[in-house]
Amino acid sequence: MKRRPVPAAALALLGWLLPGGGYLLIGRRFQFALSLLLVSVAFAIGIVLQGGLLWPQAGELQGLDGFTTLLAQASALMKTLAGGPYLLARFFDYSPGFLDGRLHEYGTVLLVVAGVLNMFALADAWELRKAGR
Amino acid sequence: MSHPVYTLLLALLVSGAAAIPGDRPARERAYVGAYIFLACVVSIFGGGWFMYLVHG
Repeated sequence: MKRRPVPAAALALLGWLLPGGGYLLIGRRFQFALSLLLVSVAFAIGIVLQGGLLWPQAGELQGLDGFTTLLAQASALMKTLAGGPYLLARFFDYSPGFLDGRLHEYGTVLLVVAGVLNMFALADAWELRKAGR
Repeated sequence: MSHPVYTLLLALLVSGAAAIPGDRPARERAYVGAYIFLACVVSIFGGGWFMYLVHG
């Protein structure tokens, strides 16, 4: 019996909410487990190192040139792409702001990395789904 | 967290991320991950020595 294709919206939503969740939907448990581990470890260490999680406020961006402002906003967006871990951190009121994040740069970079890794996992699961593998 | 430990952590994350995607056997996945990690370590070591030789 042929498997029903996974709906694209479900894959996108679960892939964002649960790191590597897209793999889980298409039945690739090993890739799911590895993605979940990598994203969670990166995000958890980012939190421990006090990385900044909040969107930069207008006052914090004052004096920065346009490109740096764009980079700051892009990095804030990438952190949200970590999905579940990001929502959990916000739920438990973990909220060092943009300037705190600049002071704790190691942590901030890891939070961004967690978002990027989750997007990689989602994009790959999307491609595998399209290829029907 | 010291700088070398942090760099190794990032190397681990990058190599793990490189090993995950695609439709390939587990053996090849392990090979890619190990290869990227070793390449990162060699680059870090080589780059470190290069900086030391240039700057003293």
